[in-house]
Amino acid sequence: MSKKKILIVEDDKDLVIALSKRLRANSYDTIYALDAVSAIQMAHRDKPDLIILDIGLPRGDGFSVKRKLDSSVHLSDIPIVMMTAQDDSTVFKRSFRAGVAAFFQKPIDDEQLLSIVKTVLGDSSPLEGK
Amino acid sequence: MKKMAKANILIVEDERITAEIIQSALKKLGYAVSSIASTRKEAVKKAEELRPDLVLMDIMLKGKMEGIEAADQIRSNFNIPVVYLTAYSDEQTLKRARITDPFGYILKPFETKELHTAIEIALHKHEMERKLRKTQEWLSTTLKNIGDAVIATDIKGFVTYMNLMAEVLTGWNKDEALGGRLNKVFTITRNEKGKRSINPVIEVMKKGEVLNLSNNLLLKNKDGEKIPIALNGAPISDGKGNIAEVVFAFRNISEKLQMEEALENTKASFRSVVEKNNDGLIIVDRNGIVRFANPKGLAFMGKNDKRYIGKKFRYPIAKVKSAEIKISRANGKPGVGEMHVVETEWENKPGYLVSIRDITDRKRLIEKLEKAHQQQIQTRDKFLSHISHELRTPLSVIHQFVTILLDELDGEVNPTQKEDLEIVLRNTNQLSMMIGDLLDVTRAITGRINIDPHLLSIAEEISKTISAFKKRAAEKGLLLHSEIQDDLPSVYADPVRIRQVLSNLIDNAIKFTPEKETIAIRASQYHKDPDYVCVEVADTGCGIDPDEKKKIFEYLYQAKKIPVPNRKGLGLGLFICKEIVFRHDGEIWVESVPEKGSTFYFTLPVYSLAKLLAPILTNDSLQRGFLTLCTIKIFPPDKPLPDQIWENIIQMVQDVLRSSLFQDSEVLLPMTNSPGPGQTFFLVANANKKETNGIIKRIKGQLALCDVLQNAGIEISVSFSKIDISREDFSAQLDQIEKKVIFCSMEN
Repeated sequence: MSKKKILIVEDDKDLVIALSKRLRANSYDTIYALDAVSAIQMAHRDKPDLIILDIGLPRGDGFSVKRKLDSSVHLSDIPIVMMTAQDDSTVFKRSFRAGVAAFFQKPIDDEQLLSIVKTVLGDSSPLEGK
Repeated sequence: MKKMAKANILIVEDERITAEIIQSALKKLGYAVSSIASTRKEAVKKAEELRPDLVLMDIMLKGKMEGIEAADQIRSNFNIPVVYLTAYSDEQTLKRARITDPFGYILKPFETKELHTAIEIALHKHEMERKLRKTQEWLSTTLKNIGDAVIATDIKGFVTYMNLMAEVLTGWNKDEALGGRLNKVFTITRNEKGKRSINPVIEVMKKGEVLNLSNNLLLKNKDGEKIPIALNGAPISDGKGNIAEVVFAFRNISEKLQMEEALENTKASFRSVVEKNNDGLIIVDRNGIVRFANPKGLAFMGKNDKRYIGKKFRYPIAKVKSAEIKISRANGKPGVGEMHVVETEWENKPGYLVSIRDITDRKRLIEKLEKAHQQQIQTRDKFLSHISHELRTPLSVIHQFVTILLDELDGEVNPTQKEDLEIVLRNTNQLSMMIGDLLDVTRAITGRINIDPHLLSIAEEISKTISAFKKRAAEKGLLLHSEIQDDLPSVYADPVRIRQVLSNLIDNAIKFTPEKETIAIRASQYHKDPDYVCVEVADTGCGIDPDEKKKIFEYLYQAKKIPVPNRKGLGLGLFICKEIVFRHDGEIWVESVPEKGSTFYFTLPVYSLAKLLAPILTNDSLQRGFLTLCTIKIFPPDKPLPDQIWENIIQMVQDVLRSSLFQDSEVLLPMTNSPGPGQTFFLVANANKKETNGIIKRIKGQLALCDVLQNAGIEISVSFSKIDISREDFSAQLDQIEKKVIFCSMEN
């Protein structure tokens, strides 16, 4: 019985720590990447069950990460939850066109985030996963 | 010949018997005999007293030829015609008598017939003479008083007549001139230097008819002054075809010349104003034909010569007051001209005066300024968006860690610390709201507040907002009480924005209302306009001064009276409320009694299907008689989705539907805000069957492109039905559709 692994891609280290604490407290395993390039590397290496992906990133953006993942046979199935601080409906549209599983806007509402993660990972109890 | 009725005749005859015979003969002929005189003296005296029409005068009175003297006196003093009676027909006597210009002779002894003829001829001749004299008098008076100077000469050029005006103009008086040569008193030259003098008599004689001379003619008067004149010369014939006299009429034209010169000057300056004007001036007639163009006007039209006159003007001008047109500039490059058209007259015909100003530079400047302004706005927007983004990030980190601490993810927190953290959290939330307001204000100022109107139940929004504020109100011991009118119609509004307005108003009310009182939130159909719903938020706070009532909705306005334990805030809340309500086509205002409380009101339009469908109810669709209603149902997957994801999906479907809409023939009805599984969208189209199939294909195709829907296990059904609009109860049907819409959405 292993915990589900979530890759947090976010350039704000503090926010990464906060998210990690919150997710770990809910029995998820978390890893993180602070830029687009390391996000791809981490995804290849660690095969996460879910990626929480910020749009604004150094060395590429959230969309470029999504494209890279889609082009890889092993990674294209990983569900993506996109997040952004930008308050712009075009970003929302772009995200869905890119085929993300969910989208939310910062500042993060913890309950909302947890509920999304839970649904996207498709388990009522993350502890009972594979 | 008209018979002179009862002409009075004076008989002068020294033989008594002869006189009586004559008298009786005259009476028989129907004449009146005024008297009989026998001496010269008596004759003259009676003629003077009695003024007869005629005098019959015996030449020989008392053996002397005194009759002739009497006749002479009567004739010249009283102008009475005289007919001589004489027994002598010798040459000597007649010669003497002829001098007195008699009107006839009757030789004694005479017959009545002869007497009659002689008298009638004399009376007639006298009448003719009188008339002639009268004409002559009239003529001479006229000539004397006429404004033109008149001089007459014989054919040799000797002056025979000169009127007063001629004396004035020439400076010579009549006595000096008459009989003298014309050129003595009437020296005229052709040019100003006075070198070419002319002889007008010869000119007239040569021509043989009326001569007009008016160019550069100068008269040198007695004092040597030169006066410009216009001259007419006419030959007078002697009745046998020969020229007997020449008459000259002339007038001083210096005033006329001065006027002409002044007029010419005015014309010249006016021409110069028109020619040198930097604006193009073009006269166009009613048929659009160019009648005049100044140099700039020609240049603007790209023409360089006067051949443009008579051509068609390039732009429509009738009923045009001003317009922007293309023009040619000095370097041949195109520019922009501002054209103004006014009605005018040109050569006594109605036409248009078109004035064209080169506004190319001005336009460029304005464009530049506008661009700069736009850039400025963009920069500011970018700046504000950047700031708020940058402020939000650390704020959200603070928020995260405060909640991590409060949730004791990092270990136990004691109650006092927990209280402290709650305060941090509250302030963090406040700060986050302020940043949101700041962003909204930028959007409001640039008119970019997005409104996504839905079919909305205002009651629901009110109850949602109230429950969000329950905790805060309870802390202050306040009661939030709502009163909603039964059967309140739905409104057409953006739920997020309306919650924002309600939150702002309720937040203010909580701030201003003293503890343990009630805040009432009411909603009812607006009594002044049933097409609107009116929402009220009433507090029992300190109220607002009358002069502040309007100002409180202004940008950055700070209320004067702020309850002590509160912060001032940014002064943006009510401004944003106003902008949001305005964008909904509603109104917002406040009524207040100082120290008693304030009630804020705002109105929102009632949802009206008829209004929404109006753009596609064209002649075309009315003729067809029906509209097509497409129903798109979105079914949730078996496993429930979190609200956030479901909302995301619904919003995405709406976006897809909206972006594939044909605006001029299709309307996507607003979503209802009813929660629950499933969502139905309605699309009304002005389409026939074939077009309807196209619409369905298009919708299905667009939605199939969204992987998310498949991935999430969401199913979609698209169906269609008709709305009969040919029936008279069309509006009733609309009502039914409306009900159906609500019914469907509740069913899901």
